[in-house]
Amino acid sequence: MIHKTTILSMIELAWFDIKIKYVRSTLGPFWITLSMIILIGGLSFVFVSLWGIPLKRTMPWIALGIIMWNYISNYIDESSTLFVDGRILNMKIAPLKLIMINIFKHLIILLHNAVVIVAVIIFFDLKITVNYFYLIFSFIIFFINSISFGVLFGFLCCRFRDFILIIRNGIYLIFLMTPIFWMPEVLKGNRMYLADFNIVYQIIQSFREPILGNPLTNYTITYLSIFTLVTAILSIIIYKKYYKRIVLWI
Amino acid sequence: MAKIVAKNLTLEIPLIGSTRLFQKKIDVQNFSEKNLGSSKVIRNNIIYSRILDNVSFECNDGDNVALLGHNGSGKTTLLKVIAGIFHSSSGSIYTDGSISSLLDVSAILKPDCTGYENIKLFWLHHNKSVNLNELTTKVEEFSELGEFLKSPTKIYSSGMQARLLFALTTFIKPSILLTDEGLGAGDESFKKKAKKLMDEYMNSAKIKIFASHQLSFVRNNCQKLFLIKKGKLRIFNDVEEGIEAYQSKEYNSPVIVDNDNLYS
Repeated sequence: MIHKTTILSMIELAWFDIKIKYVRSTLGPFWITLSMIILIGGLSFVFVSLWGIPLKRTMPWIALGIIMWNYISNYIDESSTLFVDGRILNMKIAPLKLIMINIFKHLIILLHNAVVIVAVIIFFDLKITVNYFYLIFSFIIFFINSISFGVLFGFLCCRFRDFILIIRNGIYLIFLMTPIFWMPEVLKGNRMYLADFNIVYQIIQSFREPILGNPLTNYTITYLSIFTLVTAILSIIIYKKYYKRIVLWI
Repeated sequence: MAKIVAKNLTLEIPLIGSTRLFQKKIDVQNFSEKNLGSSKVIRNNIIYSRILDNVSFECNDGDNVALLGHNGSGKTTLLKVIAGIFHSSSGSIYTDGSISSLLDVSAILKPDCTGYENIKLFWLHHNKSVNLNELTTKVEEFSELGEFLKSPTKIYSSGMQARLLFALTTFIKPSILLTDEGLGAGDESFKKKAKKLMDEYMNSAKIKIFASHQLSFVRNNCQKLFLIKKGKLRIFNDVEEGIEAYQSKEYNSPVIVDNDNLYS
């Protein structure tokens, strides 16, 4: 079903979605980059003053964390309303295709933000090590999870609209509870589960650690692999069972 | 060679939210007892609207079919089932031949995008199966919108929008043509120009199904007539006979469709 032109046209459709948002603005999609720089700058400033940790350690940590989080939160938020607008009521399009367009859209936004990551790497002179190869694993996990969560949240929120609001509220809580802009070292005792069992943290770590020059721990790799397998199977079951019916839930 | 075979199609759409908090509840007893709408089914405390009820038909090459019915009888839904947008709850449908994936091109166009961008959007939604340059040239030539194609379509007048839509719609020529409530056209001079394109578009299709209320159009163009009432389909091979039934007192009187004897 998915051949070369289909994927290309999906990417271009995703690009259209982004372009419309910034139509007639001078910077265009680079507003994404600019707002990210300001957010990271502000947070780093506060953090250096609050904890007294040197900027060289804070800023790359926060930059990577926030940028990955930005993808996760915006993607989940948009997945929850993906089918609600009723586009599939008027055209024959597989729900999976809409999910893929949504993923490509957020990957393009991520690419815009990646400029900041490159700038941080150069500015703080982070060494490019062999650990970068772990990013291949991270990216595969990340992509599969994107599809699974797109299916799970998209279908769930289309059927039960309360979940749109639950997710929207939950996202903010998860942002505060996850070591995205703060460091997990401050967690004491059994509070470590906030980091260890937190899928958001583990996914962010799978990108953050290799770029900061550290290898992935065995725990992270095992946890992510098992989690991805479980959600992938679950989403395949849900998709097969309900993809014909989703159009009736709109 | 084009073919549509439908066997015992039934489509029930759940009316989700009818039992939610703070919402005006749907009155189960009085729901859809009148002429409008379709029959109801209640299962697990959810009301289902049975929009198609055991519909069977067959269309072959050269069939020009008119689909008549009151508002909410299930005309558009039937077209959507044929197009593959809806999947029936039970029964089967087999189609052979290309069908446009869009019943209404305006569904994919974005009012914030310019005319040219919308042409590209249309092209992308068809998986680049046609030549973009050819499409653009034809739309430019046909719609006569000129420089307006560089402006967002939301500032277009409705006539200008109709021209763009018409030019886009007629570019892709499916072998099974499904039209809902006819195609809009602009002013008089445009109509003349549109006629030729319209004929070309129509002639390329092997099976045509028109959901329409215009009886004159039906008389001139169709050889077969499907009359639909509350999801039940009656097939007439003679158009006049069908129109007579459509205008009859029996068809227009409110009936309780749960009683199958009245209309089957």
